[in-house]
Amino acid sequence: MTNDLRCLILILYSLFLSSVAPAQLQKIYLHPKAAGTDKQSKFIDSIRFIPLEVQGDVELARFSAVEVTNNYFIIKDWINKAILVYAKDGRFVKKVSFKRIGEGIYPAYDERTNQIVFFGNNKNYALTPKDRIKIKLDWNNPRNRKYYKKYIIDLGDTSFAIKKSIPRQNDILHARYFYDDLYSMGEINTSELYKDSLDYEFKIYKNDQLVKGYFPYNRINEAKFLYKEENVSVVSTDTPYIHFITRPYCDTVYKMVRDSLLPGYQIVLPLENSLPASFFTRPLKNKTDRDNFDRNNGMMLHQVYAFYDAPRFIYFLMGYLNNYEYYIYQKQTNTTYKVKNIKPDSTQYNLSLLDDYGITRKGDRFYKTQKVGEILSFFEKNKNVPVPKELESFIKSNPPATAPIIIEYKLKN
Amino acid sequence: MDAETKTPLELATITVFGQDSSIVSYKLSDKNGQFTFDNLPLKRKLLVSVTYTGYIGFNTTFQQDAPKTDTLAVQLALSNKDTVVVTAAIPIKMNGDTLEINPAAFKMKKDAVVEELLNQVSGITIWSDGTITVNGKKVQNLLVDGKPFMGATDPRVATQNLPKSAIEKIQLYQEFDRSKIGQPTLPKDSLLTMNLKLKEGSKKGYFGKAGAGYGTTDRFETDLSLQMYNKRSSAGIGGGINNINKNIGNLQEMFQNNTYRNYNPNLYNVGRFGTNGINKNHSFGGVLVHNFIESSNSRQNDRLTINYNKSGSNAFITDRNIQNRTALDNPQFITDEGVQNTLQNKHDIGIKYIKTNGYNDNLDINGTVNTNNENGHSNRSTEVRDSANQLQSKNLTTTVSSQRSDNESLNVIFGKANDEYPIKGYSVQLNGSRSNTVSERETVSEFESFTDASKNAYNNRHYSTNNQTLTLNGNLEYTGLKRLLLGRYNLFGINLTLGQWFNYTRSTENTVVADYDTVFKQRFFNDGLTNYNKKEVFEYTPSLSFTKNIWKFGDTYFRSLYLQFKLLDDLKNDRNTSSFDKRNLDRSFQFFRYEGSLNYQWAKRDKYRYYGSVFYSKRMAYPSIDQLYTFVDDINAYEIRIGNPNLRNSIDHSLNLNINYNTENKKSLYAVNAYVNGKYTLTEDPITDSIINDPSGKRSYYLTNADKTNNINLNYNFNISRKLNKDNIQLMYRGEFRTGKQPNFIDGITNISKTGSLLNQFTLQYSVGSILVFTAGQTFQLNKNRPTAPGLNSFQNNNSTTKLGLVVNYPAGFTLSSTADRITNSNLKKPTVLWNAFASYRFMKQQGELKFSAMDLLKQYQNISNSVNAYGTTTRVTNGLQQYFLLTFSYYPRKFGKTEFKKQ
Repeated sequence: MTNDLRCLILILYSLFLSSVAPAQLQKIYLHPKAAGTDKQSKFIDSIRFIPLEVQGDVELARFSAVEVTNNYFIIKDWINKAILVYAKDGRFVKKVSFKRIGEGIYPAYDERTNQIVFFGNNKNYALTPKDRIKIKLDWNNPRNRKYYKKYIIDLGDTSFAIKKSIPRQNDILHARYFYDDLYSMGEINTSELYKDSLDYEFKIYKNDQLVKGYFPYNRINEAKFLYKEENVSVVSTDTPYIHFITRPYCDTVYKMVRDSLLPGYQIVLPLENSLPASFFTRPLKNKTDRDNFDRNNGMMLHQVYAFYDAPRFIYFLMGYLNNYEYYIYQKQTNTTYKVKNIKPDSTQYNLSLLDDYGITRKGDRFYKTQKVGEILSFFEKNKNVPVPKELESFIKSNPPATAPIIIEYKLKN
Repeated sequence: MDAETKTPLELATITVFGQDSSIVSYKLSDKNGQFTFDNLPLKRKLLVSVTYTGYIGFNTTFQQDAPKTDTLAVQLALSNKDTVVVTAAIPIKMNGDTLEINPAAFKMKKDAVVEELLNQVSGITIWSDGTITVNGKKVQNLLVDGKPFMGATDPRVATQNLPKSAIEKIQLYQEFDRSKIGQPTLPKDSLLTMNLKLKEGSKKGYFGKAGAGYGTTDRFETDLSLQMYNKRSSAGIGGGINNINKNIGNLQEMFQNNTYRNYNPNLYNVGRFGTNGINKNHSFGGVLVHNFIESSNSRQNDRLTINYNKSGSNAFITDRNIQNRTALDNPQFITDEGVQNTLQNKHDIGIKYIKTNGYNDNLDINGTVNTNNENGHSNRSTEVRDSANQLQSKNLTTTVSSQRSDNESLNVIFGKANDEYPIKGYSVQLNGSRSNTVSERETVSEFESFTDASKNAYNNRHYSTNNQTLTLNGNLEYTGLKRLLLGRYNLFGINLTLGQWFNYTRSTENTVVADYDTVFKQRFFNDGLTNYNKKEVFEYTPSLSFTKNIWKFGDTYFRSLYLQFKLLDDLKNDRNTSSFDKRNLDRSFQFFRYEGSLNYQWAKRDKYRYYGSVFYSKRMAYPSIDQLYTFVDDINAYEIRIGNPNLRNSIDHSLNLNINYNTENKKSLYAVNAYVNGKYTLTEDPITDSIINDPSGKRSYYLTNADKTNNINLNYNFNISRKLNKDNIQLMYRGEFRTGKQPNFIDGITNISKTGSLLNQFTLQYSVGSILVFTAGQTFQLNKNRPTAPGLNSFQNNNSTTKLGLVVNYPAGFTLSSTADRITNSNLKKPTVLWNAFASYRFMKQQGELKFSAMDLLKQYQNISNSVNAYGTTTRVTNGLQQYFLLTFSYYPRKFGKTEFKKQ
């Protein structure tokens, strides 16, 4: 039984159980070895520079990313354990260090509460995957709360103070706001600790009550999920109540309108990148065999992530068993390009805007942080190229080369 | 530059090709669109290709007839085509964490081996000692299709044999060090691994060498090496016989010394003039490696390696030792001369099995069996003179000996780590070995004193010894202790390991000694030396280890600190059973001790890396039964050893220091690496000698305790190489410094013998492509001994060697090479020069080789070496090879895949 057929059966099963509407499946043909190459200006336009107010001690770290909130740009600097808060006009607001929180706890933006949330393990405890399941199953026991730590920064409070918070069940379940008063959960794992074998890959909750489950699986011994934790990926779209849902080991991208699920796209891969039928039926013996299978079949399908459907292009991340790769699919020519092969060109100031790392999308806009030095250097060497208006006064202020700047752009419509 | 906007293009590929499409050099343009090529060949038509994705490529030809700086301005226009056709292979690219080298992008001669290709890759340095570094980091593992090649640990067996044309790609990545299973790992612990991925059509093949040579003074050599492989198995046989002191003792060495590479032949894999005596060596063996699984990565292994080797030697050594020996008020000048003939025959069988399923488990079983037969005959004469050159005593000794031994050992290592069940993490090591030695020795010694004739002695003594030893030991390390004791509590990130080490040794020796009575003309048992002895030692050491790892990543740096502290309790029981009552001892000891280490690492991304470690340990030792109650044998009048039942336990404190530095700058033409290793040892209550130089000339050694000894050993090196286009220059420096204070008693006087030695060695190598390799080296060595007691004398000696080597590979197929070593020694009146020259020609489609060797052309070589100990300095001169000429023919059978490489 092929992977495609298996997915199809699961889809039909879901149709039976849930209110999944039938729809036309659009196919995206992807040949990883023969993905196309081209210049960046073919895919990107509407580049806008957002100069940030220069602060003496603020430098852009190698690993950082920008988060766009209602009122601020938040630059998360993982290396130096700090977040930099800038107003939307680029004015510097505050640098908040989170070094005191300790190792392994990093910031994430919660749009619903307008908070920066730090949630992670209490470093005083070392937890195994089995421990986590035990704690999850016995969360009502207050003693189990000590294993996790949670801090928040309320972005509505201009002091931006880091406040200690109590970890909640939603935090350990990695539940996230879905729409209205609903939460979604897409964490998948298997364990003999579960008494009831039925679980769903994707679930919608209202308060603590399960509203609807999609894609049932056996959470004690489902072959494909043994010895590895998986997650359903949920991506918001520009339209309220519409999400894209992708599942592990499935090449179908589902479109979800409120709680109605329909298959939207199928990533069609060559046979050599498809999972063998035995993967779904024959359980691997242990975690080592699982790791070896992933390693030995590093380019087989794992999951689609970060699916963004723009008018002319589709931007997505393909997770293979042991590799990741970003692609852009051009709808008009049915061509898939590997982002790594897309080269920046001089019409876009030689800036590499489609890196693998550090890019944030908010609606139809992409945001990326950049060291000022590279931009200064470009205009220094190319005096014939006009400086964009929004950068003129900034460049004249002679900013330090390591200061950050934010670049906003769109996929071409 | 972009033709439309006139803006620079970064990362455009600029490649310079020769007329034969070979890559002369390649560069990527910088942020300003600029690129520079240095040292392009003159008077040669070259093609420059400039490509950039999405743009129409630019090609032009040029030729420079004289050295000058030229400028090329290129404007590229955007391509309107939807597709880009890649016409040239990319030489190097990063694929995730793996650096991949594409051999197809390098046009080289058809028979070029992998090492020649690596020499062409920027960032890779092949050092003159065979070490390979990539951007300054040493390659520690070389795999072929994810597996060790032919079971070899030396990468050169693969890189100097496999042709470039058989390789699909060369991958470089960091590999987990399996010996660290269950322990916290640091970046330093990962091993830089080079994996040669064979082309699908080259996954089976064979290669080797068969050579024979004959020369003047009946010198001869033969070499055989044949290796074959397929996807799962590899096998090799090797052998040889020679009388030119060429070392062919084990199979891996024979494989290494008979590789196909010839652009830089090992000029010192020839008759070894530095070896003592004339040795006729022979060896023959085979190795079989079979992989039970077909895996192209090194996570999974299921491999059996079997090897057998038969080797032997017939050595004839004449030597003359000149020793300056300190003695109270009257230093001794000792001349010791000997003629020795030794015949040795060995059989070695080894079986090794390794199985791993991932990086969390490891099963390694290693078994060896060997037998050794040795027969020897020696005559020695020793003369001792005083400072006025008056003969004090002399001794003549004749020894005939034979020894037969067999040894068997089994070593099992098993380790398992489990992230999901940390309580189940452990590693076990079990060793068992047994040996049986039977020896017969007959020594006739005649001591004559010129100061006290009453001490003259004649001994004709026969020793018959049977020794059996059984050793069983094991070590269990339990890494799940923290989880077991503390559950989920993390104990501030400190890891606990419980160690359990045990050892049982049983050694049984039956010695029968008989003296020949010249009066009765028959042998009588020597009751003072004939004995039976059985020694059983049981040792058990529980230990508790605390480790903590602290690290920090920065934008451009990484630093880490790893701390370890270990508490150990040594429990020992030593029971000795002997036919001599006083040697029947049952002793028990308990020593509580501790050790600790600190490892620090500092790396600046793409710049350099420092690594430093300090390790302190404390150990206690008790005197052995043979030190307490020694069998006093006066067969050697100059070394009569007498025990001491009042000896005390000694305590060793040792401090080890290790510092490493290497550059990791991918853009730099220079590669630098250096290390300093040091060890300081302080021993409290050490067992030392109290020497009595009897007026008759006899010398007795009484064992006693001293206050303390200390020793410092330092060794250090510094290597730097620079790429000059396709040329390479390397400077390697190595130094050693040793100093020690050894307390002793000489003729009743309390003394501290201060010894020191210093070695400095420089090697410079300059390679001009594959055409010429020039090597120059200089070694200085100084030894000295200084006693502190008044009336004792100081001595020192020194030597230096200047080495020159030249290899010229021109015209095609011909290799001319030569080495010259100029040796000076403080005990030689004038320097000697060893000049060797070689000429070889490869023909029969590069598979046949005729080589002419002319050794010691100046006919003046002498084997001479210096050494130092607590009692003086020694200069040793032995016989050795003398001038000879040798003509050798070698054939290299080679086939990779279905077709031979020469047709590819």
